[in-house]
Amino acid sequence: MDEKIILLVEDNPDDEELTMIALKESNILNDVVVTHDGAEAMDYLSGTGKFAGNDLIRMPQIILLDLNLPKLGGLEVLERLRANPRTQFIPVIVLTSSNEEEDNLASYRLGANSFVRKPVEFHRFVDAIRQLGIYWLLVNENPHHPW
Amino acid sequence: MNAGVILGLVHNATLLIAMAIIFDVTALRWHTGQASFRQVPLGLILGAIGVAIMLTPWEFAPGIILDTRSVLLGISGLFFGLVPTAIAMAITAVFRISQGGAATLMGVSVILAAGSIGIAWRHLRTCARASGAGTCARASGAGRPALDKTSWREIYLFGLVIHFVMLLMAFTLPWATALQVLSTISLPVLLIYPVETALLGALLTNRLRRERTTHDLRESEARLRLAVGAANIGFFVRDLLTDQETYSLEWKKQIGYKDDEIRDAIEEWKSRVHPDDLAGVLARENAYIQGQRSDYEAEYRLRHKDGSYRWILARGFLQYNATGQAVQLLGCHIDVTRQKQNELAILTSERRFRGLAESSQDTIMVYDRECRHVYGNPAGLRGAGLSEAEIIGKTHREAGFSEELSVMWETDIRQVFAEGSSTRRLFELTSAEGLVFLDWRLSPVFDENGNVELVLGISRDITALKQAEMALQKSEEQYRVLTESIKDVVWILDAETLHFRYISPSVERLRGYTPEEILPKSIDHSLIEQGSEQLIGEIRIRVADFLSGKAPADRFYSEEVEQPCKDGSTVWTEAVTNYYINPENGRVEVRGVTRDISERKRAEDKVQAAQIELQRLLAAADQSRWALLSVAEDQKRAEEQIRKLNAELEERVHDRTAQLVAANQELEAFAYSVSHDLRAPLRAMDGFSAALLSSYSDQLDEQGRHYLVRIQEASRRMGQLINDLLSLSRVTRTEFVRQRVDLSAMAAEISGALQLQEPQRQVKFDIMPDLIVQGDLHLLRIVLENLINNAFKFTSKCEWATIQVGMMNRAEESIYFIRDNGVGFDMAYAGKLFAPFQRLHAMHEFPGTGIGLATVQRIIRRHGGRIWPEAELNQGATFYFTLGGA
Repeated sequence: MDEKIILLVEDNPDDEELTMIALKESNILNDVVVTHDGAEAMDYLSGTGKFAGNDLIRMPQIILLDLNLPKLGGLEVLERLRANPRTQFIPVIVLTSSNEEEDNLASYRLGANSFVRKPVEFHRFVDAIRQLGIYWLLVNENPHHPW
Repeated sequence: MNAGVILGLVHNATLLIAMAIIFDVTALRWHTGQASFRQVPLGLILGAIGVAIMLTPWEFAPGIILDTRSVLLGISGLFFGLVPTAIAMAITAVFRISQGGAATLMGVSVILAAGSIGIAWRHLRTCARASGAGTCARASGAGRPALDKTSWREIYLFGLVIHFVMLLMAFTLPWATALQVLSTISLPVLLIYPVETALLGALLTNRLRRERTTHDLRESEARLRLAVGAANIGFFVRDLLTDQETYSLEWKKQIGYKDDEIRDAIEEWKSRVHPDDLAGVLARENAYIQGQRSDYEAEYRLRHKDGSYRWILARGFLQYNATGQAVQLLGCHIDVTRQKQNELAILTSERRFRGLAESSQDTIMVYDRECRHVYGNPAGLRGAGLSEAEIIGKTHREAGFSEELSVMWETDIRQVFAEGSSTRRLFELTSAEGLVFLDWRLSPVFDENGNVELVLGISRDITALKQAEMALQKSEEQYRVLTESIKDVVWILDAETLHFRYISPSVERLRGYTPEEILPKSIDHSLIEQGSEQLIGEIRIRVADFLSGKAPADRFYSEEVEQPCKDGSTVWTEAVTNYYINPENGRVEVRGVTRDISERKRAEDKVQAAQIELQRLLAAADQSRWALLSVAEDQKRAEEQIRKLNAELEERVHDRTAQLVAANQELEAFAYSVSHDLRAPLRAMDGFSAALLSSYSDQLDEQGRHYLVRIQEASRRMGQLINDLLSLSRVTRTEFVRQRVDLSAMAAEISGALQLQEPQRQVKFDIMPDLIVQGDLHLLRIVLENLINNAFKFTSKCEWATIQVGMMNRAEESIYFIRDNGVGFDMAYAGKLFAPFQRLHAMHEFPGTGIGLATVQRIIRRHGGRIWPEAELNQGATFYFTLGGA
């Protein structure tokens, strides 16, 4: 638990890469684990499937979650995270293209910590990422895990 | 010798003066400036006197005769003028020639010289008098010598001149004779003759003076008499020693009597004074006579011949004899009845009007030019809660009214002073009794010159009226909203003219015609040809039944009517009607409610058709009883058919509904994917362009970097388009919740955000407070955001941008507006404004997607309202909108 890692759940390779660039440009140099759909994300967090062999699963400091995901949707992922005592306190930042009120409300209802709309303009996107990083990685203190 | 000369001269002179006195006493009355025909006899008389003088001469030597003809002719010339003197000169000259002798020439010369000098002197005097005003020639005709003011010195000088000339005439004699004559007569002539001339002149001057005084006196007397008569002044004189009184004609006339009809006696007067006034008058009189009062003046009533009393103003003064004893009371009477009556009338009228004002329930105030209260009636003082001392002589401000009210009132008062015409104002006031409505009328009070002297203000409490009016308005409004919102058509028909007096707007939905199209036409227009006559006949019968009482007033009639529509079709309606008398004009009117029953009618028709078909089948079956198929089977089949048909219809409705639901879901899904999926590639375009620019900038030339910037711009623009499109579609997709919305607060919030966004801009926001409406909070926010953003955007090139958010009431409708003084637009393109993607400005001028106003219009329509613009190129734009029944 010495390194704070970021879990990025994003199916769009463009957005994945842009997020990486944005993180880099914001000087956020934490490790980033990328999963490409909801199921994979759940596998990672629970150490199953593709990540079954991985004993030393490191719980992420924050999760950047897209909503529109194949297989298991972002909202479902969020719901499961919150239902599981191991993951219920991990800050989840919903990072999506959607501007639908429904999505926004549903996210918060299910316990998202932030809801950020990906702006089309890249520089604003970088700005958003920078601010998120500063807040969630530096300022905010997560609940202390019992283990 | 000298003594002889002097004696002779004196003798002659005395004769002249004696003649003159005789002339003065006996001759005709003469006046200055008399007509010339009267001057001829005067000349003859003067000539005769001259001859008489010449007949008693002093003969110096044979043929040399000395006498005072020079004095006579000189004075004549000076006092009587040209005509008489010329005649006198002619007579005396002829007489002198007839006498003959050595000095005939001298005698005649003296005659001519003396007369001429007199005439010339007179002429010169006139000139001298008039010299200030004009030329001598003119003055001699019109002017007067004013000889009555001639001094004796002047006449003496005049005499010296004449006689000096006369002595010079001696040189017409032979030299030796002349010297001898001169040496003898010079001294006596120059001593005596001028004195004589002066004496004679003084006599005439005196005479003239007396003449003028008499004349003036006579004139002034005439004037006085005229004045006394005109002013109707009566005189009385009381002899204080005998108490005898005499009265003038006018005195008697004042009380209706002729001179001889009334006694001149103090008892007569006393008996005529009004008994109530007598004691006072006598006391006054006595006080004056005893010297206790300095003057006598009394006003009392005096009985007229006709029994009425006249008001008399009496004044008098005492006259004293040489010993200082008062002997007479001289007095005059002036009839002042009319003034007295006027005075009384004014007093009565004043009392009457004051009573009127005092008892009025309205507030009555009178203001002077400085807007101070001159008068306030009890109702007004009560209303203001002030005492007379607290308000009279004070302005509203000084009396403690609020500044706002004072300014309003004083403005009105000043206007009446300035314009001289009445004005009126309705206003409300918070008093101890709550909100009070007042109807305030101001009118000018003119003085005798037609200037506004005072302003009269009457205010009436119309609170009850106002409240009733408001209640009525409210109930009317409710009624109107009710009738206009229901689907049925409500109408009122004048039963006599058969014209609609009112028809609710829902008629347009029913028949396609607007109320404006129907109201001017008669009922025929609203009925199809067949049956209209019958229906109109029916109406007439019902009116007759209603008027005769055969049908009760609460009877309702109901009938099915086929009515024509604007598109040429017809519609079946059911009309429920009732008859009543309109209390406003006493005419019978029909009020009715018309309902669309075409659906029902169609169903009925279908059933009817089915029945007919059934009957036909039954008949057919009946006819073919012998046939194999039983009637029951036939009927069963028909019913089966209907059932099948109905089932089919139901299924189709179901299908259609499902399709619609599916389409809606599709649209939702599409919108979602637009919002989510279309944006992702754009982000990639913008993001990678940015990455390229930041990391590989040095490997690109200027052109390459430019292209990347263009890619970024395009992707951003498309992002904006997607956003706007989404919000447009959301407008119709989201649930509509009507609630109370404070547009003012919302506008303030939006404008605050805009100013924060662009702090360098100077924009004045003028937002009317308390714009409260009923509508959907989120949708109205989109409306205001779009309209205010637009205003903000299109004023960006203005130095003094002003954006106004407000509301006005027109035709019972609230119209909201957002107004700016920006670039505006040509109204020719106004139609394009609300279509999606339509823009009136180039992108580089004012950026935008052209979807905002389309969204706004959709929202306004969802509220049941309208939106329209009003603009002019470079003169700003205003967007008006209403919110329907909100």
